[in-house]
Amino acid sequence: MIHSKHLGIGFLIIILSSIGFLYSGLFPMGADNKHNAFTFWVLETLRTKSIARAASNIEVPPLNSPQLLLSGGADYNDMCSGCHLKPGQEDNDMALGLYPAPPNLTVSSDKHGHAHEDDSHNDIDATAKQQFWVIKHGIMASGMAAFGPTHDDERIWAMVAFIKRLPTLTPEQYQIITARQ
Amino acid sequence: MKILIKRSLTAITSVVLLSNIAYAHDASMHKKSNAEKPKCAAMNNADHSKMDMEDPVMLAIMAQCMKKSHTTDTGKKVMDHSSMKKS
Ligand code: HEC
Repeated sequence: MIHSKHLGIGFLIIILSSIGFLYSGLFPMGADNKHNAFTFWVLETLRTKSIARAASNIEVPPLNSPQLLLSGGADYNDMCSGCHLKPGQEDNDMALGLYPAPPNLTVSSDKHGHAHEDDSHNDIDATAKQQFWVIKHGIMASGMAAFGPTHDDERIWAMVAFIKRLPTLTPEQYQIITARQ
Repeated sequence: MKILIKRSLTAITSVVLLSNIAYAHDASMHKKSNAEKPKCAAMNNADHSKMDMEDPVMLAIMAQCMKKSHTTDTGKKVMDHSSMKKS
C-alpha cells in the first residue's frame, strides 16, 4: 500500500511542476532554438504516423500527363517555391529560418531528409498519397499551410504530379514548365 | 430604419468578402502577377534524338514552346503570323 501512495505523490509532483513550467515562461519559443533529441523523436513520430494513417485510403489517380505538370508547375512556382526551393537554388530565407524546416523538394526524398512512413509495398504510391494529404490539409504548428480550402483536388494532384518530377528537372526545364503565359 | 441600413451593410460586406474568397485562388489571378514567358531558347541546343517523346516532361516543354507567346533568344515575342496583313 505504501508503494501506491508514494507513486501517487510522485505523479502529483510531476504534474504540478509541469504546470509550473508552463506558467513560468521558461520554455524557449524561438524558431532558432532546436528541439532536443527526445522532443524531436516524439514530434517526428507523431507526424509520420499520423500522416501515414490519414493518407492510407486515398486513391492515387494517373499522374503522368503533361497537362498536370503544367498546372502543378505554375502553382508550385507561385505558391511553394518560396519555401521548398527551385532547381539550382540551395537555400533561401524561409528554408533557413523556418523550424521545422521545409524540405527541399527539388532533390529526391531520400536526400531531403524526411523519412516517409510507407504503409504499402508501393513506395511511390504511398509518397503521392501522403504528399496529397499534406498539401490539402497542411501540417499543424509548422509553416506548411493547408491548401485544401482554396484549391480543388485536381489542382492538388497536379502539384503532386509536378513534385514527383521536380528532382529530375534542370533550372531551364523548370523555368519553361512553370511559366504562365 | 437604422437596423435596415445596418443589415444591408452587413449583407453587402459579406457578399463582397465571400465572392473574394471564392475567386482568391482562381488560376487566372496568378497569371497577372507572374507573367514570365517560358525561355524556350534554352532548349535550342538540346539533342532531339536523345529525347524520350513519351516523357510527360518533354511533352509539357513542347506544349509550352509551341504556344505563340514564348520568347526567343533576343527576348522578343515570336511573331504572330496570323494577324499579319497580306499585301
Ligand atoms: C511558408 C513556407 C511553406 C510554403 C509556402 C509551403 N510549404 Fe510545404 N512545408 C513547409 C514546411 C515547414 C514543411 C515541413 C513541416 C514539418 O516537417 O512538420 C512542409 C512540408 C511539405 C510537404 C511534406 C514533405 C515531406 O517530405 O514530408 C509537402 C509535400 C509540401 N510541404 C508541399 C508543399 C506545396 C505543394 C506547397 C505549395 C502549394 C507548399 N508545400 C508550400 C513549408 C511550406
